[in-house]
Amino acid sequence: MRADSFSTIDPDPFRQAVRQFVREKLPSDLRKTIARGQQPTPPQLMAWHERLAADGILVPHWPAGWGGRGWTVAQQLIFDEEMALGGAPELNSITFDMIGPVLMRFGSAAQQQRFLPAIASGKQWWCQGYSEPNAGSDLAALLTRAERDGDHYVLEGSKIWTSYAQYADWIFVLARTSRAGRPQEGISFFLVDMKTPGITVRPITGIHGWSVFCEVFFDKVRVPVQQLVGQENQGWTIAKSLLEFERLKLARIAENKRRMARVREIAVSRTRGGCRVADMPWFRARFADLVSRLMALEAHAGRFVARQAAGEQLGPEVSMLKMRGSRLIQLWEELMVDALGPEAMPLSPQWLAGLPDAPAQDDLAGTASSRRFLARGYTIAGGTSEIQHNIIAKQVLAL
Amino acid sequence: MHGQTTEPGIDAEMRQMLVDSARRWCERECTPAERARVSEHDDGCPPGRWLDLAQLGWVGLTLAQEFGGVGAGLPEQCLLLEQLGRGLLVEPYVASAALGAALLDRVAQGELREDWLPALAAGDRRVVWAAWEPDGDTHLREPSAMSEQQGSTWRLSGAKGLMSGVGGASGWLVAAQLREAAGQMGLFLLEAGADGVEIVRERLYDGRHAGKLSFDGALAILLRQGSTTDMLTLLNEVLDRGRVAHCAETLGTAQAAFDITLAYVRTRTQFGRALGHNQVIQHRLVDLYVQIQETWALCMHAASAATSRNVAALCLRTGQVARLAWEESLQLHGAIGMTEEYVLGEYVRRLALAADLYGNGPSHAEDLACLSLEIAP
Repeated sequence: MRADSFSTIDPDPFRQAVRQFVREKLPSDLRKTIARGQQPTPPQLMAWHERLAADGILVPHWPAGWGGRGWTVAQQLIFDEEMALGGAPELNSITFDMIGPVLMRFGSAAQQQRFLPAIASGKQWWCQGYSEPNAGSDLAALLTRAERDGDHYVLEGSKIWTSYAQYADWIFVLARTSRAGRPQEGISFFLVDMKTPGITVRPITGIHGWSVFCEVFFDKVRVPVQQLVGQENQGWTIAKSLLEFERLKLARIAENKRRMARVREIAVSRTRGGCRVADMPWFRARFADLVSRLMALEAHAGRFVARQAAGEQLGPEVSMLKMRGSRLIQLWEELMVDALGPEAMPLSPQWLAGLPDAPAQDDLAGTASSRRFLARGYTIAGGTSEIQHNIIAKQVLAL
Repeated sequence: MHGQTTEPGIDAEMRQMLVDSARRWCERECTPAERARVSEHDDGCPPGRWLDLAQLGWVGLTLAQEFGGVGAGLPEQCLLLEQLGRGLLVEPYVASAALGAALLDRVAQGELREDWLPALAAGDRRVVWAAWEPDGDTHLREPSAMSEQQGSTWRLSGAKGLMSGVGGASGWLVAAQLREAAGQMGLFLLEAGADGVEIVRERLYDGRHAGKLSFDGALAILLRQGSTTDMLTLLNEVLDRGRVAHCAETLGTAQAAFDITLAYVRTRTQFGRALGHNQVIQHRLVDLYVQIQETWALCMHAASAATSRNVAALCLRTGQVARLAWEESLQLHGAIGMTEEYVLGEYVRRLALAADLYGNGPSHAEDLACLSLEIAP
């Protein structure tokens, strides 16, 4: 593990070190993209990943043996917060928080050697092949099949809502290897190269104008048996454990703070009828309400962090953080749109796409309407809010 | 909701003892019949029971040990208050111990300090800060009451608005302008029995008691004087800590209302199954549960760092949770919740009043907006 300005465990200097890093190292083009609320391009992101990897802070929560620093959750949360407030993009949690830790826990030595260094270097991008057209919240109903054929499994079926599959190098796929027993019992977990013959990706355009998720079709895709993770039919256990990594991050404190800062910026820079939006009673009441919700969420997350740091195993009650954090993001986005008023209404596809010749739009207003719709995904992806309610009702309240 | 070890103060074991003993005491001493008896008392605070609370160490919980206190902090006081809130304590603990005694502790000097603090910790005397103006505004500002110095004594004239625990107190803390010094104000101790003091007692809708003070040329002791700005800063710091205590008590009551409702939907059967099997009931209870948990976390955070911003946010959230708790628990019970005979009604009334007791939602929201908009987050 390297000794540098990030080595301190003292929160204040640590925070300062992260803040300084973002200020100095975030490329200006990427800073501009994020300030405008646009989607960064894959080359922009890959360059940023490599930059972070060069300083050893792309996967700081990983153990030192795999290129990490073994940061605590508290350190990660500070890191995420300073990155967000400094205008850096949110990192791809599928790659860095999910598949990496899954391979550390369930992968073979060969799989670990093959993939972990590549991920830690920032050069490999993963996507998650879970949902299917008829298996959303009810994931165990998935129908994609994997049949053994010599040294290979042959994948047949399709996945949907696969985020950024059009850019990904690899995909991890849940596929059915048996029809015996409960639906959960016949599922296996595969690592699949996106360049394998038989894979077709069809990006889906969202109501926000961006293609953030895709359909992925598997037509007799041959996957070497070495790319099965764990045992055959053990995939459900692995899939579930993946949801346990970094659950505290699902409060999305940093992403909420990024939006709070943006709302404030809008409110103090706009006037209507001669009155600053920040001085309008309706705005102040709603802003304060959301600020108080964020402060409560942060305090709540803080208690979970402390419990985890004390060695406690966190239970299903962590779902509360995901439920509240994801909804709060939507409420900030709505407040932004309302504070902008008519400014948020025009649509410029060129600006949304970040095209260099797009007619200039305002940084805060140009993508606000797209972002409000994009944000609706937060309460749907990764277990809908309704599923989170069910989990808490059943497992915490014993109803 | 309790039992974490992350806040400073007394150690975890002592905290747990405090919580356990408070819970046991409430189970025994805060039964509906006992509460009704306390509410029937003229001041809603029978001296014998107040002595009991003091002997348990709770009245002087945050006072120094040299005065007979425990020397604990606001986080411990919140843990205690959560239990007292669950038990729907009628006595004005927050007004007397968390606000009155805390303010006197902050300003009293010399002999008066030596005299009053041990008496407060022992439960022999009770002091209440009559903080509000007669119009009921819960923002502290330059007081309308006026003080006049005559030789070595001070005389006060004016009035204070409705405040919990005023009736039966041994003394009241009141702020007043100084007639001879514009821009200055003083904080005074007005002792019970002083000539020229009148109390209008009110029994509140939730069974607690409160009162309005008026005084005309009443003799008072000056505790502290200073510029209006400095004095308001000091008073607001104490008020903010008292508000945190009030929120802890309110959240305890909300949690109890939630628990009663959860037990009810598990056992009440309609259409051949328990109410709690219906997803709409489950989800509404989850929403309430999560908001109580979240706000409790904020309460413990604010108890460790009672900044104006933390307190404004806490009060805003607590008011909303209190409202959600009484509305939802009542609705999810159905008609039984509307009856005086059933236990829930007391919780409903307490929560409804508590939501606005030390400042209402819009006023806390405005404070929080001020503190959050003008500085970069």
